[in-house]
Amino acid sequence: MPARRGKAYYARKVKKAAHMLFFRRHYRPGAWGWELRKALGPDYVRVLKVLDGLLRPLDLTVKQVFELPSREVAKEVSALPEAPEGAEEQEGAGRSPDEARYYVVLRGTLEPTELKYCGWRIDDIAALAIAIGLILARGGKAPRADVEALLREKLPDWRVRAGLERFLKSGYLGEDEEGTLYLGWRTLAEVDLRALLDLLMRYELG
Amino acid sequence: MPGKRRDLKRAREQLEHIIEMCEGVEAGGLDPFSVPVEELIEAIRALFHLWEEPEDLSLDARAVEGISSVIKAQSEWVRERSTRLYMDPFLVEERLSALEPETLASLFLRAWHPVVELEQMTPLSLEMALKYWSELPARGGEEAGPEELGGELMPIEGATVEEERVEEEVEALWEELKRMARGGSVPYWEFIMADTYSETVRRAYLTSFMVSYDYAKLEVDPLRQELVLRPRRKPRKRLKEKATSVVIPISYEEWASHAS
Repeated sequence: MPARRGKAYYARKVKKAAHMLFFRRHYRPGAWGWELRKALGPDYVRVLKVLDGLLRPLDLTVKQVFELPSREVAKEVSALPEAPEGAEEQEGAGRSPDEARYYVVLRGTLEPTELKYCGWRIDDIAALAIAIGLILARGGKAPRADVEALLREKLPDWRVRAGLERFLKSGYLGEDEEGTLYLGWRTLAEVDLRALLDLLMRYELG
Repeated sequence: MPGKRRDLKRAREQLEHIIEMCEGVEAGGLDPFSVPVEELIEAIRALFHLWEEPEDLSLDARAVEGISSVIKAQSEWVRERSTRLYMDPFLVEERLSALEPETLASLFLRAWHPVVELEQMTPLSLEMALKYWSELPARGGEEAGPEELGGELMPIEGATVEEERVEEEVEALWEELKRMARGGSVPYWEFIMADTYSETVRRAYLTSFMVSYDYAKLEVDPLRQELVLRPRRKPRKRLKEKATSVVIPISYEEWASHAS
């Protein structure tokens, strides 16, 4: 006889899922799919969908992120295979949900006036946009020196250095042994890279 | 007659040059649009009346085939850029240079959905912490602190290890790890396991130095849920703030379970 799964069953699991996703337990927020499966059971994806529905009025959403290597992400973002209009994008098609990491992110976007609540300045955000844009344009990796050079065109030297360190520390960027920068876990979680490129390309220069 | 032979030789060279150019496009070394297809077809047609030998006719056929592969490459190029959202890297860099910081920030904000997170204790984190502490092996017997030993640490012969020797051993172990990993990773337990318990502990001890000195990375394989060691190509200086500690108990029972 199949087990009856009522409101109480999901309510308990949704609470636990919210704890796991909201509260930072290690150095990164969110949780892996396999962690959620272990804690919530095999129907954790359904639990996350329920949680997502509850978060909607608060302008929040549960985001599934497959942490692919930076080069692969850039390739996917810059050369999107043609899809029929209206077809839903199948991110991570063919991959197991257990391999993804799940976060609670803002469903909408922030206004420039709201930046101060997050501790960011306009300059910091511009620098992050430049660094991410350049890395994407170079196919997922770019020498740190090139990123710094482009940032110096717009920002003072000290702010460039401090900004890059902050981006590295907070996970927006990663740096390998050869001093090459790549997209970090936080960029993959927070930035709609395809939208960013689209906005950059469509913006009409005065 | 020598004049005709000379013409034939020159004509063959011309065909070979055309074939080489087409092969360059096929190999990806040449832009397909840099090949003047129409001119080459005219040249091949003009030379056709010279061919009598089967080898020459075969050369002619190869040149025509090469031209067709260039046309194919050109059509693929056009198809790729017309049916995909193609991003020109140069154009993106130009945009990043041209736009004002305020504009860049406002564009970024429209694509940015920050993670929402809270940093505080929860019943779940308390439960996990309690579980962690309760699973730690109890410290056997009462240990005398330095105060009880008269405030002085007692030097014991053989109990100290020279730093150089540790480094040598760590490097040897690193070489071994690189051989085993073959560019990938090796499960932690598989790497430290030895025939005896004491040797396993020794290898685990040196492995901890190997990871601390950043000769290798200690990671969790998310699918198999086990610790793996990934050697670095060369050790690097790690930033202090990135360092984390991982406690891996190696009890005799644990060793025996892996050995069996």
